[in-house]
Amino acid sequence: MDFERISNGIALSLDPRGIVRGVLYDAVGLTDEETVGHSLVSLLDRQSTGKGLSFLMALREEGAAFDWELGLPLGERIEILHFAGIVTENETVVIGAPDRQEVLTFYDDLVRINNEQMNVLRLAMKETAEMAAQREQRDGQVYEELTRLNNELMNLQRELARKNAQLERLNELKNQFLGMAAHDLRNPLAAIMTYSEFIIEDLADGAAGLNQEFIEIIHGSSMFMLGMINDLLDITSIESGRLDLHLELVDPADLIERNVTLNGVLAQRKQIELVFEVTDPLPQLLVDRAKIEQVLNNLISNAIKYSYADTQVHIRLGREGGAAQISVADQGQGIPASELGKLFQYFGRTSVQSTGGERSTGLGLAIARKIVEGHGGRIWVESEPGHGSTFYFTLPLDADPV
Amino acid sequence: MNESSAKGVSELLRQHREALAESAVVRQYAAHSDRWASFGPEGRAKSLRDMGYHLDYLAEALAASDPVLFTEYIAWVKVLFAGLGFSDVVIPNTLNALREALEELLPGEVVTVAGAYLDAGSVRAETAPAKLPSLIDVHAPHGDLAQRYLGYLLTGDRQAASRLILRAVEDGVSVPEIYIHVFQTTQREVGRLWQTNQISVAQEHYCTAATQLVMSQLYPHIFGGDRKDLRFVGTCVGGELHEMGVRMVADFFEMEGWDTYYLGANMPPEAVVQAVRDRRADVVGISATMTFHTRRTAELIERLRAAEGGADLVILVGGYPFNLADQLWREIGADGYAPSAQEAVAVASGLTGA
Repeated sequence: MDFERISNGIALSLDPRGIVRGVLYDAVGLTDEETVGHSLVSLLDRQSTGKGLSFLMALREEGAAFDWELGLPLGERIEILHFAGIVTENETVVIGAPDRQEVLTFYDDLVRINNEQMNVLRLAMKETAEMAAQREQRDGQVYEELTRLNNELMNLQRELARKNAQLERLNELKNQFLGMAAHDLRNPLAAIMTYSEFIIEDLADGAAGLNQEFIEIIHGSSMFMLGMINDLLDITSIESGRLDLHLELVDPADLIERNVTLNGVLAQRKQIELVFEVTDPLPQLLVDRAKIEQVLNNLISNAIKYSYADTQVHIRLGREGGAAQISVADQGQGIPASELGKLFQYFGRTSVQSTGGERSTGLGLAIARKIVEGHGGRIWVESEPGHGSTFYFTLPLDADPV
Repeated sequence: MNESSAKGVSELLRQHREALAESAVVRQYAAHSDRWASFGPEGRAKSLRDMGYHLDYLAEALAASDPVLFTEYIAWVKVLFAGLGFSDVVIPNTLNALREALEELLPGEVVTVAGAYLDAGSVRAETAPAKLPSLIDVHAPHGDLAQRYLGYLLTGDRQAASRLILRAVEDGVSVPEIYIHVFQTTQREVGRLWQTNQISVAQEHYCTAATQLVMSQLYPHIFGGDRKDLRFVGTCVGGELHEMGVRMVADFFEMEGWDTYYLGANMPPEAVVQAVRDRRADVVGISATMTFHTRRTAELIERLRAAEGGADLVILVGGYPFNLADQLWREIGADGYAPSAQEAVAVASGLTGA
């Protein structure tokens, strides 16, 4: 028989138990050692075990079986082959090929050779060939459908990419919108203009001296605007993905000490005491000094801003898990639980009023969060209205920023 | 188990096949004479023939040092015997008779080696289903939907299938329900139809591809919602046809608010390690589809562990080989295992303390 025509398959002779007696043809590279003397089923992928047993049983019971797809492991790959087989007097021949048509051809050859089996096989053939023809047609349609499906997937992919680009543009827009926050800058500007006009009028009228109060208002408003503009610039650079960290090894206790001292003047003015404690000595941390100072300054100045006179603000440095943990605890007004969620968002101002009439841009904590997360740390708050708030943030001890 | 000793035992079983089969049948009949008497001499000949087959597959499994070959054979026999109206106890009794025959005729160490395979067979005989009816139960939740969906897929009408699902979602069926009761169920049913030689691989491919398309149409319902600060990376070792399982797992994580990233099938280990680092993954899910993928899964885990931060990474595994052997995940160094997408999320949440 011309087995060479099976491009990539096998032809095996089996005993009635389904054990391989000989390899008639092999284009897939089975070794004799793993083939001869072993059950056909043991050659198959384990997930084809049951199906292979059913195939052998169909062969035994009906004398012929056709169009069984079984998995054959070849190296790390599983090749699905179409199997057919017939039983003659004392031999079972089984063919496996990747293509149903090839199997069909050999099946014909086999049938011709085994004349005595003709009648049984004709019957089997008639049924199976009909079914095979149907399947063939169906498979053809399925493959066409698959091609169309693939195209559709590609289109969907494109659409997704398009949507993505759109979203990016929207994000860009959002950042521009942030610029609108600049409208917050208008109020102080209006104050500056009004009071400077007063001064100009006074000067024109030849008034005796400059009004110190007016000038202080102008100065305060200018300071606020400068802070706001700095915050906006920070956000613009963070949101466009440019949180450039200039990392260096820094002693955390020194860094905090410095910021506590800087805020000391502000605190004294409101008769608030700043207390710094190191609960656990820590090694140097790899951080962006200026950015972490920004976070510390924000948290400490906030604590002062929302605290009453004759209270304390505790700043603690310690270790929590594998990270350095810094906390700033005040004995101020606390924040209602319902407002905690928006605290770290842009313009996430709460209903809590500052105790000395200080103004807030509503941007500081959002920026602090971005900076801390950029260092691979976490920032959060615990608060109890009437008793005070504690802000925590962590910085990784192993020098591995994100 | 020592491979060469298993091979030697296999050889002994082949040599003494007839005597062992005879001895086992004698014992089987002696133990339950009432049950077997009615079958007569013809029945006894069949029992002898069947016992020979059992021995053949026991020997094959030992020769390959692979108990799964024997356990899958037992699973198949269970369905066959149930179809013939045999009682449930026939297989356990047969396996007992085989063990006694081995004890009688072969040395003790042979019984030890082969006994482990017989034990695995007994366990499988208990757990395997006796029937392989359709896995779609029209009375189960959304069973009707699953049946109609599969019907469309098998006739190649993916548009109708897709419309059916989108309409169901509009009518208020949740996306997780669709995944569990429609996609998962039909995918399993498609596997069963192939196993029972009712559909071709081409159709199986089509059903998978079509379902993936429908899944992508549901993405607007999946992506969004409240986010957790947790990241999952999913991948699978094995062919594209089996990607869907782990993709469904990734979608379940996404629905629970995780950030997920899905890597295609057969990614080189270094690409997975890279993705885990880039995405700062808290959890990695690896799905394996074939028993011989176990080794590659173990290698991938080793690579992930050796990489920076690998010791703290939570690694979950799933798929066919791990469903077969319930402690396998532990042996290859994973932190957990889950048999389904929902359970994967639960296990991952437990392990990350989320």
